[in-house]
Amino acid sequence: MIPLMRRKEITASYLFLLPALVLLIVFYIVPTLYAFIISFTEYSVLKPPKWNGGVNYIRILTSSTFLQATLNTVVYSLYFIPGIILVSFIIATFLQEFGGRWSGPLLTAFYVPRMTSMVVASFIWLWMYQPDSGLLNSILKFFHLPPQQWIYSTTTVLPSVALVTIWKDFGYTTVLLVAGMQSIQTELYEAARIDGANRWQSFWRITVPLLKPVTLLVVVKTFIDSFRAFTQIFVMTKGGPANASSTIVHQIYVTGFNYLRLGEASAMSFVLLVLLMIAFIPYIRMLRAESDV
Amino acid sequence: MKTESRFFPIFRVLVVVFLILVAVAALVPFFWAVSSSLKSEEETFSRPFAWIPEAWAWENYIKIFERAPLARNMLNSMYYVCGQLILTLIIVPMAGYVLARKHFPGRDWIFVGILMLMVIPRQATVVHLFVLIKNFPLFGGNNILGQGGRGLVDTFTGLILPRAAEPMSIFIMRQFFWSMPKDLESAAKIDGANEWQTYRSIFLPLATAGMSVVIIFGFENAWNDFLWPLIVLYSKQKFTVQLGLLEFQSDTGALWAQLMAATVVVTVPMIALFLVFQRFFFKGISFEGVTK
Repeated sequence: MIPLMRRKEITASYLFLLPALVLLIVFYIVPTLYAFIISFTEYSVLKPPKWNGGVNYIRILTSSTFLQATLNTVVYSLYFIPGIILVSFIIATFLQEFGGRWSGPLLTAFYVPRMTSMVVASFIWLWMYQPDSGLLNSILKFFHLPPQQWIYSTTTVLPSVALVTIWKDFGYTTVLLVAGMQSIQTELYEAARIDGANRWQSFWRITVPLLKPVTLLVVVKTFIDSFRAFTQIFVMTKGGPANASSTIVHQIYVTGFNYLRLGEASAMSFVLLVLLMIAFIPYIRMLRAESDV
Repeated sequence: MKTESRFFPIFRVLVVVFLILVAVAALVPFFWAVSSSLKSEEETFSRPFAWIPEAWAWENYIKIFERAPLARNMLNSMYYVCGQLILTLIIVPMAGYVLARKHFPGRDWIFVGILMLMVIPRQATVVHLFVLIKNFPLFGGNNILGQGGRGLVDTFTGLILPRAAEPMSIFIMRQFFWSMPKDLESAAKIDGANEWQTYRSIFLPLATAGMSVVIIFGFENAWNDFLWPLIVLYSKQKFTVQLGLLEFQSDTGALWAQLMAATVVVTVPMIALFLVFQRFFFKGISFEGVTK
């Protein structure tokens, strides 16, 4: 027998949780399950879904457009992830080791681009990337360097889009890394100093190893970010030139809402979820460690 | 050690100068946007470009409000932001509270489930969320099976409801309640307060810092949201600011000065919010990143 007091407490707990649970189930879990069913049907909003087995999966996995988009997503992430991690790691280290009282104002300045929406960031950079009148080619010309095609050439479009995203988000990852560095106890550095270690040694022996969890978090977050890239592509390139910048999410959008082939779009969503699984396991493990469950 | 102390000050100055240069570079796109927004459309194409406009074209900032319903869009965005925040602030702290402070069967499973939902990006299930919103039973002319009407498509309810309980916000609130002292409950028990009173008068007032983090991220997410409004909203009079910006671009190109003026107008509230509440932004981020 559970005592009455305890039973009341349990009931109350469920009631407190109920509204959030209902919303999470209806708007997160149901759509995902629904997607799984739809991905096996022929469905175009106007007509009711019709079962067609795994045809959608075969269709998308043999479609050169979708495979190109998947490849683009991977290539994009190979520009974005190392780029943003390198930039923010160097800046965070410099801030922490040498910033002193400059750290605060500098961190504020680095974070400001993050406050733009992706639409705004894309428009500003679209304007800077204009081959004839944009800022970047003007700067190149000033230094007598050859002008670039930026987002208008199949070879440079992905790094150019990645650059916009790095610009927008590096302040955020820098703040994450700085927070991680600040959480390392100062006593450790004191002890190292007494033992005769210089700054360089204590950086490699203390900061780098103890920063591993935060670095892993940044890697996972940027991984997820690069696999869900959409707005910057929708606004700047529309997937072009010649599909060279179409990503998986862009294909989901085009297939689902321009061509109204929701079955195929759902199948694409599941391919995306499977790719994201790579990041799921370390991330969940990390979050669980963080919250002591 | 001696060499380090001799060279360290010089090296430090070099590093700080380098960091300042990076900060300036990070802000250059804004200077460029503001500078372009104050030029005439002809001058935006003149080369070599100048940072200071030849003739200050302040009228761009009036033209954008005449050309597109930007004011209406901003109002819609405020509506989206406020509606979502009100729901979030009622629902999310309650959930975070019981997940952190109560013991009941299934609690840990529910929590791990929420952690997993945090990892699934909204973009991955956006098509299905749309189908669900369209077939939402008993709304917008739909019958109980969700057929026959438009459901919640093109409504603010359809825009707001799916975003009211973000797994991330629940996680942040849970961490806040978790970090509070262990014996807070016993004080309430002595007073004979019931569950709701304990939550409302003891825990909630202590969680204002956590709520601020949730408010600020909610504001940022809703104001900057693009894909979901793009899919849910059809009628132009319901468009949010981010959708409204698309009006300034056409297939034949854009009027860059006006487009830049519009981006400035849309971005200034967010940057102001950040500069005023910076503390909460950084606090929220450290909550995500610093493992115990």
